[in-house]
Amino acid sequence: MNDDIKQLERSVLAELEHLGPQLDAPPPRGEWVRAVQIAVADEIDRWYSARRRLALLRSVGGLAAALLLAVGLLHAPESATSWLLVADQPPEQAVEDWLGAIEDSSDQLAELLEQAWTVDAGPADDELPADPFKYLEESLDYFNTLSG
Amino acid sequence: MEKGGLDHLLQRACRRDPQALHELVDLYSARLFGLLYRLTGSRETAEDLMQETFLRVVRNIGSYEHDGRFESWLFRIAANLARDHARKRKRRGATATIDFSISAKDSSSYDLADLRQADPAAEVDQREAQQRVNQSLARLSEADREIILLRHFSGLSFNEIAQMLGIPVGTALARAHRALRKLRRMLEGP
Repeated sequence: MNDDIKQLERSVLAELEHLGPQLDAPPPRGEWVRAVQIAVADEIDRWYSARRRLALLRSVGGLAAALLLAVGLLHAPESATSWLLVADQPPEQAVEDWLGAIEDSSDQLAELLEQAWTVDAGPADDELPADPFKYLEESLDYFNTLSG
Repeated sequence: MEKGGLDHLLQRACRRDPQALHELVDLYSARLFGLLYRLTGSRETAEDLMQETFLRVVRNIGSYEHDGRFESWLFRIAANLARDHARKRKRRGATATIDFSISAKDSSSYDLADLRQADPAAEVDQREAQQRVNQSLARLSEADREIILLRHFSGLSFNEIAQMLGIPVGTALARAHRALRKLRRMLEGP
């Protein structure tokens, strides 16, 4: 900050100090502050219920995907599952890895859904990965590799 | 509140600890209400926007990474809400972004109970003084008004305010200087 700006800041702060008491506002009503606290407590409850619903959705989704995969593999003709035999690891391990990848992508999607629920004019979410679909794409790529 | 205490409070609030958020409302409601009241000119609107500010804090505090600038984040939410409110009023055809009519009507609901009992004339004076300040603030441009009120109620430095508004600090100071001179003339004039 150069000297001119510092000088301007000092002058503005002195002026504000002079006018400050006139700018002061009446306080909020006590009952309104309590009403806000109740609304905030309700919002926290809503936030926790939304999280529980997301966790349930994630578990059910993961289970359904695993069941579909298991049923598909059990009932598929031999020719369709022969790739499992030529993969460079045991087929059970390959399926387990793929399920793990699905779970990772599911976690990322759940986080993305949660962020969408809380989307706002606030700052960018530093916790969110740069590319939230990365893990989903990776799991699909891995599946494509396995299926040749 | 000392910085260590605030840090601990914010850590608990980030985990959506109800007691921590309750304390944040206690801690910031007066200053937030003051800013919103002066920005909107209406007690009712300021109370509604204050509630909305805290609800947004609950929704977003998990993604807020505490870096010592909580107040900047909090007051930005409030200022954005006040700006949106002013925009909606303009769209509805209001000529001023500050709501004079409501301000005049709801001035009787000021917390002036003690003053009222002690001296009715003082109550009238106080009410007129509040209206006069609101009317003078309404004659400033929205951007100028926002800068001086943010500085007065949030206590943020002009550097932080300039960053918040995305303008150079020199511009923020020049606007504040011009606005304060104008405001002083209006408040001290005949």
